[in-house]
Amino acid sequence: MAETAGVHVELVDNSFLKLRGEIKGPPDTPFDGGKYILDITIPETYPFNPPKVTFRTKIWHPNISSVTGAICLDILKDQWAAAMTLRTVLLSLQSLLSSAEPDDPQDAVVAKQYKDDFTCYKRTAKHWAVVYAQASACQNKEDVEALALFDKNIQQLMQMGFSEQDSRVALSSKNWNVEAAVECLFS
Amino acid sequence: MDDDMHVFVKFNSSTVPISVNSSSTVHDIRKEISKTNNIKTGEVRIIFAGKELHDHQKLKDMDIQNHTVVHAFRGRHLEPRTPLHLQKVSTNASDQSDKSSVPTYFVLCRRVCGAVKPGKLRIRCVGCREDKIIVTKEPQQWSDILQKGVIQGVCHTQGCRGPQPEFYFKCRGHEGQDHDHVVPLPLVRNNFLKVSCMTCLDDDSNPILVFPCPSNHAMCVSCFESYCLHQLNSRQFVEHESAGYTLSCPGYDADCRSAFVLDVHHFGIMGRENYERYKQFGAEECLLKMGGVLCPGTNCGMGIFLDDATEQTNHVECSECGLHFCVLCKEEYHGEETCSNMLLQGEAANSRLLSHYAVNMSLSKYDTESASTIRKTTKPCPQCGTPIEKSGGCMHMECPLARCQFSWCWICGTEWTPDCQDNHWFG
Repeated sequence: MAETAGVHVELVDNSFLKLRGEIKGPPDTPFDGGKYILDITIPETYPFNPPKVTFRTKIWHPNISSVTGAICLDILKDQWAAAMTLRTVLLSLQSLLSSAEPDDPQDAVVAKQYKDDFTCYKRTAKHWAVVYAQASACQNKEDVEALALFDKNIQQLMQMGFSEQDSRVALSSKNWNVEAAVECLFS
Repeated sequence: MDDDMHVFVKFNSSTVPISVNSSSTVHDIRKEISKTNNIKTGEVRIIFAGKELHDHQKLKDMDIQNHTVVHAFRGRHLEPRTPLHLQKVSTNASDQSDKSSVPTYFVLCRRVCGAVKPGKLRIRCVGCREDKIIVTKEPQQWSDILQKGVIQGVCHTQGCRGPQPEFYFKCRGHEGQDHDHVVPLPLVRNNFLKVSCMTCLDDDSNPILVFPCPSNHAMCVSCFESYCLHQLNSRQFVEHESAGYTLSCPGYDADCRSAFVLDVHHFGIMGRENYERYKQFGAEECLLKMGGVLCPGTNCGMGIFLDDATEQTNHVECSECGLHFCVLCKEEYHGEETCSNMLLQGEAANSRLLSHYAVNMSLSKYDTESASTIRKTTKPCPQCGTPIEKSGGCMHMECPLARCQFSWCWICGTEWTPDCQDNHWFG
């Protein structure tokens, strides 16, 4: 597949039923420069049924579950058409990263943050992109400071005995409010 | 073409074989007829495929092959002033190639070949069913052929003067007269432009089926067969007001979903057994849509329309197998007690949409086991009761039954609401 489009698939074994996809985070988004790995399962009824696609790389995005990597995208469900290809799917996913649809979310927590506090959403998404997808760091001074504070908050919770991942999820869900995150972790 | 071959000529109600070779012309046939019947050559007229043939025409150019039947009758033959081969103006280079090897029509040969084959267009008289008819103009498009009365003609069978010609097709895949089981497939065409199949992306398939959408999406015949079978098995065919039970183009342009296959003979590509299933399913869906029910009795499936008494009692006795059953739950009739079928809860309890398709025991030996697996792995659509399996994705479900399509929540078992979205979109 065209490397220039920033999408790519490869075989996992020789069955053609399990594939691994990769998309690059599009520019002008928190995901810029990130490398996102996708698990693709081709059903026996392909191409009359859509492939099953999930994000293997963790991501903070309204239409993608931060827990399971499940994707909410119409063409992977009822809007699938047999004329579509894996290329169409990967390019659509890339475009989903550029323009989220918070009103049709997979992850309700992220969607709420996206609508209520967009700056916080962008910074959280950037934090996840840097940690999990090796995305490029921010340039803006305020953002750099905010992200440094995120790291400090995570360290703080880890010192209380929580795992890094649990701390990150709790803080991200609570707009990086440490007290709220701790409460969430204990409940 | 073999050098040694026979053309059958029907003349005065007898059929005689005439030996010809690859360079024979129509003149040779006329000469032979005049000799054996002792009439002047100028009094023999030859008809083939709705056209009168002329002396200089070569048999191979006219698609006359070994065992082809042509009609001869007595009448004054007039040669056209300009030889026909000069009248034909070639408009592009590909016309120069051997015409007879490029099939224009494709047919489904249902009985002998059981496959899509190149076809031959033939014309006969509606009255006497003989091919001894000359049409006034050649058909230009499919509608000229498929709609009766567009092309007029004159029948030359003695005493017939038949009202109009009728087009039919022969299969090029086999010899013989079995054309009652040969149907034309107007959507199947030659893939001259090397268009790729929209599903397997092969650009070497020939012939190819072209959907009637503005983008002219095309699919190779074997992918079309898979597409139809897949849609049939998941009951995804839809009812179209003029075409009946059909499918649309599986493309994703805006107009594809309303570009339906209007000639349902194309579904015969699935093979005879599946075509029978297709017809059965179509009839069942039509009956259900009209408010009828299907008898749930094993091996039955009788279609029953409800009368006034049933509307009150929900009790039906099948006139075919004698089963007494309840209209709501499709189980054996249980008097005034409420239905025990767990598929029917909430709104579905009062709807009669639950479609219990007939079980054919010869096909489903493990019916009881299947039923228990279905109970374990599915939840009923809250509107129609159809058991639905969730294979991934979010909790927002849409009933896949074409005539229901209810949007519901997997967790609540009721209609999908914004609350479901906020609280448990993905569980």
